[in-house]
Amino acid sequence: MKIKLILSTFIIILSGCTSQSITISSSVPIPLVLSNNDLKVISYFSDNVNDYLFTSEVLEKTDNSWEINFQDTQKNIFTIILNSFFDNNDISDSFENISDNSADLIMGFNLESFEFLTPQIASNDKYSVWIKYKINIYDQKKDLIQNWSITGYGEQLTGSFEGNDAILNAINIALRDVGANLTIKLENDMPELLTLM
Amino acid sequence: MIVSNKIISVGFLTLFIINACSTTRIDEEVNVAYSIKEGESIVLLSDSYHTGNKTENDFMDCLNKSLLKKQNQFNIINTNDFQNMFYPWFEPSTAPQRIEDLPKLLNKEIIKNKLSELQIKYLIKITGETKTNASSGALSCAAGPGGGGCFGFAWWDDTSSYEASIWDLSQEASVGNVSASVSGTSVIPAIIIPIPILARTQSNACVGLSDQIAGFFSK
Repeated sequence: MKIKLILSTFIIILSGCTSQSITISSSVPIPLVLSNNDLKVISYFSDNVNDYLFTSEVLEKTDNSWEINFQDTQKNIFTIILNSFFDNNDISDSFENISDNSADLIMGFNLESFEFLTPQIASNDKYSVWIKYKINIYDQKKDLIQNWSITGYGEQLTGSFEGNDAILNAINIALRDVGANLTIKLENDMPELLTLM
Repeated sequence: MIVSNKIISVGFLTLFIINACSTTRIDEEVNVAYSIKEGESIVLLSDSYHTGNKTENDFMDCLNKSLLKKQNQFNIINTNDFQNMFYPWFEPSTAPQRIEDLPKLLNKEIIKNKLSELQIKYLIKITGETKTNASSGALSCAAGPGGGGCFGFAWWDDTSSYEASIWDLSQEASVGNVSASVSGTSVIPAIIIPIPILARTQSNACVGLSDQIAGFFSK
Protein backbone atom coordinates (compact mmCIF):
# COMPACT_ATOMS: atom_id res chain seq x y z
CA MET A 1 0.00 0.00 0.00
CA LYS A 2 2.87 2.35 0.87
CA ILE A 3 4.52 1.67 -2.48
CA LYS A 4 1.25 2.55 -4.27
CA LEU A 5 0.99 5.80 -2.31
CA ILE A 6 4.59 6.80 -3.09
CA LEU A 7 4.10 5.93 -6.76
CA SER A 8 0.91 8.03 -7.09
CA THR A 9 2.59 10.99 -5.34
CA PHE A 10 5.54 10.65 -7.73
CA ILE A 11 3.19 10.65 -10.77
CA ILE A 12 1.39 13.77 -9.51
CA ILE A 13 4.72 15.61 -9.03
CA LEU A 14 5.94 14.55 -12.49
CA SER A 15 2.76 15.67 -14.27
CA GLY A 16 3.43 19.28 -13.16
CA CYS A 17 6.08 19.64 -15.87
CA THR A 18 5.80 17.54 -19.01
CA SER A 19 6.72 17.67 -22.66
CA GLN A 20 3.88 18.10 -25.15
CA SER A 21 4.20 17.09 -28.80
CA ILE A 22 1.71 18.24 -31.44
CA THR A 23 1.53 17.67 -35.19
CA ILE A 24 -0.39 20.16 -37.34
CA SER A 25 -2.08 18.96 -40.50
CA SER A 26 -4.92 21.40 -41.08
CA SER A 27 -6.10 22.97 -44.30
CA VAL A 28 -8.37 25.79 -45.50
CA PRO A 29 -11.37 25.70 -47.85
CA ILE A 30 -10.89 26.89 -51.45
CA PRO A 31 -11.52 30.66 -51.28
CA LEU A 32 -14.57 32.11 -53.00
CA VAL A 33 -12.72 34.45 -55.37
CA LEU A 34 -12.46 35.06 -59.10
CA SER A 35 -9.34 33.53 -60.59
CA ASN A 36 -6.99 35.29 -62.98
CA ASN A 37 -5.73 33.25 -65.94
CA ASP A 38 -3.61 36.02 -67.50
CA LEU A 39 -0.91 36.20 -64.85
CA LYS A 40 1.94 33.73 -64.47
CA VAL A 41 2.96 33.49 -60.79
CA ILE A 42 5.87 31.66 -59.16
CA SER A 43 5.97 31.29 -55.40
CA TYR A 44 8.74 30.12 -53.10
CA PHE A 45 8.77 29.34 -49.38
CA SER A 46 11.46 29.73 -46.74
CA ASP A 47 12.52 26.68 -44.71
CA ASN A 48 10.32 27.70 -41.77
CA VAL A 49 7.27 27.59 -44.06
CA ASN A 50 8.19 24.42 -45.94
CA ASP A 51 8.64 22.29 -42.83
CA TYR A 52 8.59 24.04 -39.46
CA LEU A 53 9.28 22.49 -36.09
CA PHE A 54 8.61 24.81 -33.14
CA THR A 55 10.35 23.98 -29.87
CA SER A 56 9.55 26.11 -26.84
CA GLU A 57 11.88 27.29 -24.13
CA VAL A 58 10.70 26.44 -20.64
CA LEU A 59 10.39 29.78 -18.83
CA GLU A 60 9.08 28.48 -15.53
CA LYS A 61 9.39 25.15 -13.75
CA THR A 62 5.64 24.63 -13.86
CA ASP A 63 5.43 25.15 -17.64
CA ASN A 64 5.20 22.36 -20.15
CA SER A 65 7.75 22.26 -22.92
CA TRP A 66 6.18 22.19 -26.37
CA GLU A 67 7.20 20.66 -29.66
CA ILE A 68 4.88 21.65 -32.50
CA ASN A 69 5.49 20.09 -35.90
CA PHE A 70 3.82 22.11 -38.66
CA GLN A 71 5.07 19.71 -41.39
CA ASP A 72 4.15 21.30 -44.76
CA THR A 73 0.78 22.68 -43.54
CA GLN A 74 1.71 26.36 -44.02
CA LYS A 75 2.99 25.75 -47.56
CA ASN A 76 -0.18 23.81 -48.46
CA ILE A 77 -2.44 26.59 -47.14
CA PHE A 78 -0.59 29.28 -49.14
CA THR A 79 -0.72 27.08 -52.24
CA ILE A 80 -4.52 26.67 -51.91
CA ILE A 81 -4.92 30.46 -51.67
CA LEU A 82 -2.60 31.20 -54.62
CA ASN A 83 -4.16 28.49 -56.80
CA SER A 84 -7.59 30.02 -56.23
CA PHE A 85 -6.35 33.42 -57.49
CA PHE A 86 -3.98 32.36 -60.24
CA ASP A 87 -4.58 29.58 -62.75
CA ASN A 88 -0.86 29.66 -63.57
CA ASN A 89 0.87 29.26 -60.23
CA ASP A 90 4.12 27.31 -59.91
CA ILE A 91 6.32 26.65 -56.92
CA SER A 92 10.09 27.09 -56.95
CA ASP A 93 12.65 25.71 -54.45
CA SER A 94 14.22 29.12 -53.94
CA PHE A 95 14.29 32.70 -55.19
CA GLU A 96 17.70 32.09 -56.82
CA ASN A 97 16.32 29.29 -58.97
CA ILE A 98 13.72 31.56 -60.57
CA SER A 99 15.02 32.99 -63.82
CA ASP A 100 14.27 36.54 -64.99
CA ASN A 101 11.08 36.98 -67.02
CA SER A 102 9.85 33.49 -66.15
CA ALA A 103 6.85 34.93 -64.28
CA ASP A 104 4.78 38.10 -64.09
CA LEU A 105 4.80 37.97 -60.30
CA ILE A 106 7.09 36.23 -57.82
CA MET A 107 5.86 35.76 -54.26
CA GLY A 108 8.15 34.73 -51.40
CA PHE A 109 6.75 33.56 -48.05
CA ASN A 110 8.67 33.72 -44.78
CA LEU A 111 7.42 32.93 -41.27
CA GLU A 112 8.39 35.89 -39.11
CA SER A 113 6.94 34.87 -35.75
CA PHE A 114 4.87 32.20 -34.06
CA GLU A 115 3.74 32.92 -30.50
CA PHE A 116 1.24 31.46 -28.12
CA LEU A 117 -0.05 31.81 -24.60
CA THR A 118 -1.24 28.91 -22.49
CA PRO A 119 -3.89 29.21 -19.73
CA GLN A 120 -1.09 28.62 -17.20
CA ILE A 121 1.00 31.55 -18.47
CA ALA A 122 -1.92 33.95 -19.11
CA SER A 123 -3.90 32.94 -16.00
CA ASN A 124 -7.10 32.52 -17.98
CA ASP A 125 -9.03 29.65 -19.55
CA LYS A 126 -7.90 29.85 -23.17
CA TYR A 127 -5.04 29.25 -25.58
CA SER A 128 -4.12 32.23 -27.79
CA VAL A 129 -1.98 31.92 -30.92
CA TRP A 130 -0.38 34.59 -33.13
CA ILE A 131 1.35 33.93 -36.45
CA LYS A 132 3.02 36.54 -38.64
CA TYR A 133 4.42 36.16 -42.16
CA LYS A 134 6.45 38.45 -44.35
CA ILE A 135 5.56 38.18 -48.03
CA ASN A 136 7.88 39.72 -50.62
CA ILE A 137 6.45 40.37 -54.06
CA TYR A 138 8.71 40.85 -57.06
CA ASP A 139 8.04 41.79 -60.67
CA GLN A 140 9.27 39.80 -63.69
CA LYS A 141 12.75 41.40 -63.43
CA LYS A 142 12.93 40.18 -59.82
CA ASP A 143 12.72 43.72 -58.45
CA LEU A 144 10.88 44.02 -55.12
CA ILE A 145 7.58 45.85 -55.67
CA GLN A 146 5.63 45.10 -52.48
CA ASN A 147 6.33 43.87 -48.97
CA TRP A 148 3.35 42.55 -47.02
CA SER A 149 2.88 41.51 -43.41
CA ILE A 150 0.11 38.96 -43.01
CA THR A 151 -0.98 37.94 -39.54
CA GLY A 152 -3.30 35.36 -38.08
CA TYR A 153 -4.84 35.05 -34.63
CA GLY A 154 -6.68 32.15 -33.07
CA GLU A 155 -8.01 31.50 -29.60
CA GLN A 156 -9.70 28.51 -28.04
CA LEU A 157 -11.31 28.14 -24.63
CA THR A 158 -10.09 25.01 -22.89
CA GLY A 159 -13.73 24.07 -22.10
CA SER A 160 -14.45 20.42 -22.74
CA PHE A 161 -11.38 19.84 -24.93
CA GLU A 162 -9.19 16.91 -24.01
CA GLY A 163 -5.40 16.65 -24.09
CA ASN A 164 -3.83 19.01 -26.61
CA ASP A 165 -7.02 19.51 -28.65
CA ALA A 166 -7.57 23.08 -27.39
CA ILE A 167 -4.13 24.40 -28.45
CA LEU A 168 -4.35 22.38 -31.68
CA ASN A 169 -7.65 24.09 -32.45
CA ALA A 170 -6.25 27.53 -31.59
CA ILE A 171 -3.34 26.95 -34.04
CA ASN A 172 -5.73 25.72 -36.76
CA ILE A 173 -7.93 28.82 -36.27
CA ALA A 174 -4.86 31.09 -36.49
CA LEU A 175 -3.69 29.39 -39.72
CA ARG A 176 -7.19 29.70 -41.17
CA ASP A 177 -7.14 33.39 -40.22
CA VAL A 178 -3.80 33.79 -42.04
CA GLY A 179 -5.40 32.30 -45.16
CA ALA A 180 -8.40 34.62 -44.84
CA ASN A 181 -6.24 37.72 -44.37
CA LEU A 182 -3.98 36.81 -47.30
CA THR A 183 -7.00 36.24 -49.57
CA ILE A 184 -8.50 39.61 -48.66
CA LYS A 185 -5.14 41.37 -49.07
CA LEU A 186 -4.73 39.82 -52.53
CA GLU A 187 -8.31 40.72 -53.47
CA ASN A 188 -7.92 44.34 -52.31
CA ASP A 189 -4.39 44.97 -53.58
CA MET A 190 -4.58 43.16 -56.92
CA PRO A 191 -5.40 46.32 -58.96
CA GLU A 192 -2.39 48.12 -57.39
CA LEU A 193 -0.13 45.11 -58.01
CA LEU A 194 -1.12 45.06 -61.68
CA THR A 195 -0.12 48.71 -62.07
CA LEU A 196 3.28 48.06 -60.47
CA MET A 197 4.14 45.15 -62.76
CA MET B 1 -29.54 -4.37 2.86
CA ILE B 2 -29.99 -4.74 -0.94
CA VAL B 3 -33.33 -2.85 -0.75
CA SER B 4 -31.80 0.07 1.20
CA ASN B 5 -28.92 0.28 -1.31
CA LYS B 6 -31.46 0.48 -4.12
CA ILE B 7 -33.33 3.28 -2.35
CA ILE B 8 -30.09 5.23 -1.88
CA SER B 9 -29.18 4.75 -5.57
CA VAL B 10 -32.63 5.93 -6.74
CA GLY B 11 -32.38 8.91 -4.38
CA PHE B 12 -29.03 9.94 -5.81
CA LEU B 13 -30.23 9.51 -9.38
CA THR B 14 -33.26 11.70 -8.66
CA LEU B 15 -31.03 14.37 -7.19
CA PHE B 16 -28.79 14.26 -10.26
CA ILE B 17 -31.76 14.64 -12.57
CA ILE B 18 -33.25 17.58 -10.65
CA ASN B 19 -32.12 20.86 -12.12
CA ALA B 20 -31.62 23.89 -9.97
CA CYS B 21 -34.03 26.82 -10.31
CA SER B 22 -33.55 29.26 -13.15
CA THR B 23 -35.32 32.39 -14.42
CA THR B 24 -35.79 33.09 -18.13
CA ARG B 25 -36.43 36.47 -19.74
CA ILE B 26 -37.15 36.79 -23.46
CA ASP B 27 -37.53 39.85 -25.64
CA GLU B 28 -38.44 40.66 -29.25
CA GLU B 29 -38.17 43.76 -31.42
CA VAL B 30 -39.30 44.15 -35.05
CA ASN B 31 -37.82 46.95 -37.17
CA VAL B 32 -39.15 46.44 -40.70
CA ALA B 33 -41.47 44.06 -42.55
CA TYR B 34 -40.05 40.66 -43.41
CA SER B 35 -41.09 37.29 -44.78
CA ILE B 36 -39.51 33.94 -45.55
CA LYS B 37 -40.73 31.46 -48.15
CA GLU B 38 -40.45 27.70 -48.17
CA GLY B 39 -37.09 26.65 -49.57
CA GLU B 40 -35.32 29.82 -48.49
CA SER B 41 -32.48 29.54 -45.99
CA ILE B 42 -31.11 31.24 -42.91
CA VAL B 43 -27.63 31.12 -41.37
CA LEU B 44 -26.61 31.63 -37.75
CA LEU B 45 -23.28 33.37 -37.25
CA SER B 46 -21.72 34.41 -33.96
CA ASP B 47 -20.13 37.82 -33.62
CA SER B 48 -16.35 37.75 -33.69
CA TYR B 49 -14.11 37.28 -30.68
CA HIS B 50 -12.02 40.01 -32.33
CA THR B 51 -14.70 42.44 -31.12
CA GLY B 52 -14.74 40.97 -27.62
CA ASN B 53 -17.74 38.70 -28.16
CA LYS B 54 -17.45 35.33 -26.43
CA THR B 55 -20.35 33.26 -27.77
CA GLU B 56 -19.39 29.66 -27.15
CA ASN B 57 -19.08 27.16 -30.03
CA ASP B 58 -21.24 24.63 -28.18
CA PHE B 59 -24.00 27.26 -27.84
CA MET B 60 -23.92 27.81 -31.63
CA ASP B 61 -24.07 24.02 -32.19
CA CYS B 62 -27.02 23.77 -29.79
CA LEU B 63 -28.84 26.66 -31.50
CA ASN B 64 -28.35 25.16 -34.98
CA LYS B 65 -29.65 21.75 -33.84
CA SER B 66 -32.52 23.15 -31.79
CA LEU B 67 -33.76 25.39 -34.62
CA LEU B 68 -33.53 22.54 -37.10
CA LYS B 69 -35.85 20.44 -34.90
CA LYS B 70 -38.38 23.21 -34.27
CA GLN B 71 -39.50 24.13 -37.76
CA ASN B 72 -39.63 22.93 -41.36
CA GLN B 73 -40.68 26.23 -42.93
CA PHE B 74 -37.15 27.18 -44.04
CA ASN B 75 -33.70 25.64 -44.35
CA ILE B 76 -30.90 26.19 -41.87
CA ILE B 77 -27.41 26.13 -43.28
CA ASN B 78 -24.95 24.96 -40.66
CA THR B 79 -22.61 27.77 -39.52
CA ASN B 80 -19.39 25.83 -40.25
CA ASP B 81 -20.60 24.71 -43.69
CA PHE B 82 -21.58 28.31 -44.50
CA GLN B 83 -18.18 29.67 -43.43
CA ASN B 84 -16.41 27.01 -45.52
CA MET B 85 -18.52 27.73 -48.61
CA PHE B 86 -17.98 31.48 -48.29
CA TYR B 87 -14.36 31.35 -47.09
CA PRO B 88 -12.85 33.86 -46.27
CA TRP B 89 -15.69 36.38 -46.18
CA PHE B 90 -17.47 35.33 -42.96
CA GLU B 91 -14.49 34.43 -40.77
CA PRO B 92 -14.16 35.92 -37.24
CA SER B 93 -11.77 38.61 -38.50
CA THR B 94 -13.52 39.33 -41.82
CA ALA B 95 -17.29 38.92 -41.33
CA PRO B 96 -19.38 42.11 -41.33
CA GLN B 97 -19.85 43.22 -37.74
CA ARG B 98 -22.48 45.92 -38.36
CA ILE B 99 -25.32 46.12 -40.83
CA GLU B 100 -23.49 49.08 -42.43
CA ASP B 101 -20.66 46.67 -43.43
CA LEU B 102 -23.03 44.47 -45.42
CA PRO B 103 -23.37 46.45 -48.71
CA LYS B 104 -19.57 46.42 -49.28
CA LEU B 105 -19.58 42.62 -49.08
CA LEU B 106 -22.76 42.11 -51.10
CA ASN B 107 -21.37 44.32 -53.89
CA LYS B 108 -19.05 41.44 -54.75
CA GLU B 109 -20.81 39.59 -57.54
CA ILE B 110 -19.31 36.20 -56.63
CA ILE B 111 -20.71 36.42 -53.06
CA LYS B 112 -24.08 37.72 -54.17
CA ASN B 113 -24.43 34.90 -56.72
CA LYS B 114 -23.52 32.23 -54.18
CA LEU B 115 -26.03 33.61 -51.64
CA SER B 116 -28.68 33.63 -54.35
CA GLU B 117 -27.78 30.08 -55.47
CA LEU B 118 -28.22 28.79 -51.90
CA GLN B 119 -31.34 30.97 -51.38
CA ILE B 120 -29.89 32.45 -48.20
CA LYS B 121 -32.28 35.22 -47.20
CA TYR B 122 -31.41 35.95 -43.57
CA LEU B 123 -28.15 36.11 -41.65
CA ILE B 124 -28.71 35.90 -37.90
CA LYS B 125 -25.90 37.41 -35.87
CA ILE B 126 -25.58 35.96 -32.37
CA THR B 127 -23.94 37.78 -29.49
CA GLY B 128 -23.70 36.96 -25.80
CA GLU B 129 -22.18 34.47 -23.44
CA THR B 130 -22.60 32.57 -20.20
CA LYS B 131 -21.03 34.25 -17.19
CA THR B 132 -20.59 33.24 -13.58
CA ASN B 133 -21.65 36.25 -11.51
CA ALA B 134 -20.93 35.08 -8.00
CA SER B 135 -19.78 31.98 -6.22
CA SER B 136 -19.35 31.01 -2.62
CA GLY B 137 -19.05 28.11 -0.20
CA ALA B 138 -16.35 25.58 0.44
CA LEU B 139 -15.89 22.02 -0.63
CA SER B 140 -12.98 19.90 0.46
CA CYS B 141 -12.09 16.41 -0.59
CA ALA B 142 -9.52 14.07 0.90
CA ALA B 143 -8.23 10.64 0.02
CA GLY B 144 -6.20 8.20 2.07
CA PRO B 145 -5.24 4.56 2.14
CA GLY B 146 -8.60 3.69 3.75
CA GLY B 147 -10.73 5.58 1.20
CA GLY B 148 -11.79 9.13 0.48
CA GLY B 149 -14.64 11.57 0.50
CA CYS B 150 -15.79 15.17 0.24
CA PHE B 151 -17.52 17.49 2.66
CA GLY B 152 -18.96 20.98 2.28
CA PHE B 153 -21.33 23.09 0.28
CA ALA B 154 -20.62 25.29 -2.79
CA TRP B 155 -22.89 27.41 -4.97
CA TRP B 156 -22.58 29.79 -7.89
CA ASP B 157 -24.83 32.08 -9.96
CA ASP B 158 -24.73 31.85 -13.77
CA THR B 159 -26.32 34.16 -16.31
CA SER B 160 -26.64 33.11 -19.94
CA SER B 161 -27.60 36.12 -21.98
CA TYR B 162 -27.79 35.93 -25.80
CA GLU B 163 -29.17 38.17 -28.52
CA ALA B 164 -29.95 37.42 -32.17
CA SER B 165 -29.97 40.26 -34.67
CA ILE B 166 -31.78 39.24 -37.85
CA TRP B 167 -30.31 40.71 -41.05
CA ASP B 168 -32.24 40.59 -44.31
CA LEU B 169 -29.60 40.14 -47.02
CA SER B 170 -31.90 41.26 -49.85
CA GLN B 171 -32.97 44.46 -48.07
CA GLU B 172 -29.50 44.92 -46.49
CA ALA B 173 -31.29 45.85 -43.27
CA SER B 174 -31.76 44.56 -39.76
CA VAL B 175 -35.37 43.41 -39.58
CA GLY B 176 -35.45 42.63 -35.87
CA ASN B 177 -33.85 41.38 -32.70
CA VAL B 178 -34.76 38.61 -30.29
CA SER B 179 -33.06 37.79 -27.03
CA ALA B 180 -33.09 35.28 -24.20
CA SER B 181 -31.54 35.69 -20.79
CA VAL B 182 -31.50 32.89 -18.23
CA SER B 183 -30.19 33.20 -14.67
CA GLY B 184 -29.82 30.35 -12.24
CA THR B 185 -28.03 29.12 -9.17
CA SER B 186 -26.17 25.83 -9.10
CA VAL B 187 -25.32 24.06 -5.85
CA ILE B 188 -23.06 21.19 -4.84
CA PRO B 189 -23.73 19.77 -1.38
CA ALA B 190 -21.24 17.10 -0.39
CA ILE B 191 -21.41 14.55 2.39
CA ILE B 192 -18.81 11.97 1.36
CA ILE B 193 -20.10 12.12 -2.25
CA PRO B 194 -20.58 15.54 -3.96
CA ILE B 195 -24.04 15.91 -5.53
CA PRO B 196 -24.09 18.60 -8.25
CA ILE B 197 -27.51 20.22 -8.77
CA LEU B 198 -26.91 22.38 -11.80
CA ALA B 199 -28.90 25.26 -13.25
CA ARG B 200 -28.51 24.61 -16.96
CA THR B 201 -28.66 28.27 -17.93
CA GLN B 202 -26.86 27.90 -21.27
CA SER B 203 -29.03 25.05 -22.58
CA ASN B 204 -32.18 26.85 -21.35
CA ALA B 205 -31.04 30.01 -23.16
CA CYS B 206 -30.43 27.93 -26.29
CA VAL B 207 -33.99 26.56 -26.12
CA GLY B 208 -35.39 30.04 -25.37
CA LEU B 209 -33.55 31.75 -28.22
CA SER B 210 -34.37 29.04 -30.78
CA ASP B 211 -38.07 29.31 -29.76
CA GLN B 212 -37.82 33.07 -30.29
CA ILE B 213 -36.18 32.77 -33.73
CA ALA B 214 -38.63 30.08 -34.90
CA GLY B 215 -41.53 32.19 -33.59
CA PHE B 216 -40.20 35.33 -35.29
CA PHE B 217 -40.38 33.69 -38.72
CA SER B 218 -43.70 31.90 -38.15
CA LYS B 219 -45.65 35.18 -37.82
